[in-house]
Amino acid sequence: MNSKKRSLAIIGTVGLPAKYGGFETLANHLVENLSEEYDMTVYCSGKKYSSDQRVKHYKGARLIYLPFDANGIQSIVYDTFSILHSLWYAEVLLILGVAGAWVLPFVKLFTNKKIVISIDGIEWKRDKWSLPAKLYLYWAERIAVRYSHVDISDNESIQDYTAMRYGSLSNVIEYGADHTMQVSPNGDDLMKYPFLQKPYAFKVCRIEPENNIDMVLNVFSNNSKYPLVMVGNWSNSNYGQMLKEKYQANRNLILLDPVYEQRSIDLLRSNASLYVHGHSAGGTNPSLVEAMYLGLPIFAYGISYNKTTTEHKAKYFISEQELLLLIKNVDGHELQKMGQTMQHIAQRRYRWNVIARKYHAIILRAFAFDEKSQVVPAYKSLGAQLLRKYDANHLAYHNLFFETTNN
Amino acid sequence: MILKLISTLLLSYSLAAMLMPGLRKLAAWFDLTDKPNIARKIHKAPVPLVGGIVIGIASMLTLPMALDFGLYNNFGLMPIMVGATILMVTGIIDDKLEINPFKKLLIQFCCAYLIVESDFVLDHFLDELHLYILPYSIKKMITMVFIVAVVNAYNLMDGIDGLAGTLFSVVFIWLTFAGIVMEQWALSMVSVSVVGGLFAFLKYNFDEKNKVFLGDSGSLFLSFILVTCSIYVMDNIGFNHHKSMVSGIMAMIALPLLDALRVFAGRIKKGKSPFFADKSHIHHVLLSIQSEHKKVAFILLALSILIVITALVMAYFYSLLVIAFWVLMVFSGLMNLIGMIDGMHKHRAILAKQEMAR
Repeated sequence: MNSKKRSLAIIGTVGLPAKYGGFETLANHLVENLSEEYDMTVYCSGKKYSSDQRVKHYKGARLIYLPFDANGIQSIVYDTFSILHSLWYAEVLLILGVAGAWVLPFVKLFTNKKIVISIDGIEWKRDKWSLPAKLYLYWAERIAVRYSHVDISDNESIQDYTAMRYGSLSNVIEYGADHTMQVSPNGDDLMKYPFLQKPYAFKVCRIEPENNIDMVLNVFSNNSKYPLVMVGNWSNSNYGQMLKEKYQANRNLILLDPVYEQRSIDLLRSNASLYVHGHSAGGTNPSLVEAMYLGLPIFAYGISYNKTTTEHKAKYFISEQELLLLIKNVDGHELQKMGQTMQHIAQRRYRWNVIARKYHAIILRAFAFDEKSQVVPAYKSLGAQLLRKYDANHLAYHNLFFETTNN
Repeated sequence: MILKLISTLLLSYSLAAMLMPGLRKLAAWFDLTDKPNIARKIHKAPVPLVGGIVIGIASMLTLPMALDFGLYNNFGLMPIMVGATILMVTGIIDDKLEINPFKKLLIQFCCAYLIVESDFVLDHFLDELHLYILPYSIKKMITMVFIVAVVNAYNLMDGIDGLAGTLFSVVFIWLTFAGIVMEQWALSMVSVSVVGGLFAFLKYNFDEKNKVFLGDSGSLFLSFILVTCSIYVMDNIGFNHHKSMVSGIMAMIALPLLDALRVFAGRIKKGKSPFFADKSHIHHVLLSIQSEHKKVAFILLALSILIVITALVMAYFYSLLVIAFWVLMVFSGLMNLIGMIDGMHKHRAILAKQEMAR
């Protein structure tokens, strides 16, 4: 029995204690759940933790602070230094995000460290990046998938994309949501948020155009069936400031500033009657799975990633008209049933101990297998002529058996 | 001499400008026009493919006036002009009847062989690239392949309005200049007469109402003269400022040549024939970012000139081998970048379809 724990470095997150986003919450739960199996080190951004906030150890994991930002262009330097530093002691590198991927070919060539990388959403497609940034991310993603032992997608639809682009099978591991809880409002809560007493729709997200915020606000501004409570960082961008100015006087809309305390945000969302999810970028969104876990019915933007996360059992919209129709035709009974369905899915798939076990399993796989599973069958390399010679011509076009045409 | 050059230029320009409208009308009668094939091509009304013919006639009429017949034989001009004419005729027939690409290649190879036999071989040039071990026959074969490759590369560049015309003009202006510097007047005369015709062509190419295209005839004709004149420059070591002139030529030819190689390699990698028509040339990719044809042609032109300038500067410090290497590296880097942008756009389109699938 191997009693010595393997050393694992978690690279690419802002750091612990988690107070930023999905990757940070993930790191937190991995540290909590896998401390028996691994000696963990987490790299943190010195820019986000001031000297009095820093600790040397957190929940059994060692913390190392680097003087760079974990996001934006500094992430390249941040990730690179983290990777290089971890080579001294770690056996497994768990890298979240592809910013430092350029250094991986050297790591794979000259060391025997196992590289497990999560490629996040399809970052290079997002309009928030400039063209040079998009090109770098597009290239880095390729390096990340090619030179890692295991790559992770957080959504099956992204697994489809990596299969198409790289021919290799990536592993789908989503996020957990069971750190959220149902909160019953007390007297103070009702004073602060009077809308809690009646049914309302809820949305929490970063204020960016790709989250279709203007669409959702516009639809709810004209409809008084449910007021919409939206929490986000309105003052962080021109887009947010403009929207806040435009809609803050509207009776049907309640725009709140960011809520960081777990109890408060759970209070706001667990008492909602409906969750609206306008996210249009790639991947499984932590706020969506959290809403599902809290048993909220979901109206989500109709792209493949959201449908996959909700197993096609929620309601979807791709335009203002469709969202309007959904709200008009909403039935309290139907919503309740949908909420239960969502909760069952989340309880099955989106729990942190399940997620942590999956990570443990793929790290073990990284040690067991040198090569990734390919999605392209071996007979593809034989060539059409050879296949024809042996009357196996149909195998040259095997993709026709599962491709669909979308008109 | 300079005066002679100027008058040749003006003569060739005026001849071409005069012939152009007449031949436009004739083209309609002979059905020598480019019909818009919406799937791949980009224009809307049928455009006469007579640009090349006019440039050919104009330059071939002007040339004998500018040169003494003594010089004509010395420079080996006859085989060049006749070879170019043969290709022009091939081009006309191809424009009208779509010849089998292998027949076209055969004709190109034969012309290349015959020209090589007239002593147009990259002998000293390859020596300068430290390849002097190669026997002469191998050098001849390399030259032949080079000729066919460049001719086809320029042919493929004729995909956007105004691109081929401007690229050819730049190279021939450079060749004129090289001829003056090297004191090879025959070279300058040939180049300047072509330039005159090209300027007249460009005037009509950019004119929206009376448009003319270069056509296969034009691009074959011009690229043959281009490549043979380039071989002449590249191989005649010993003249003034030779290194700079050759660097300029290499830099200018590199763009179409390396782009063609990249596209062929890409198509072969996907299991398709290298002649399979897809939109992966550098001008197609740039079009997907910046959709105005004129701007794309301008970007490519500016790019070529920039690389030429850097090559020129390096010519003062480094050997030809280093410069060849540098040009190769810069263009490979560029091609990779272009390939990546192309890939990114293609994946984005595929993803957009996948994401909204019901």
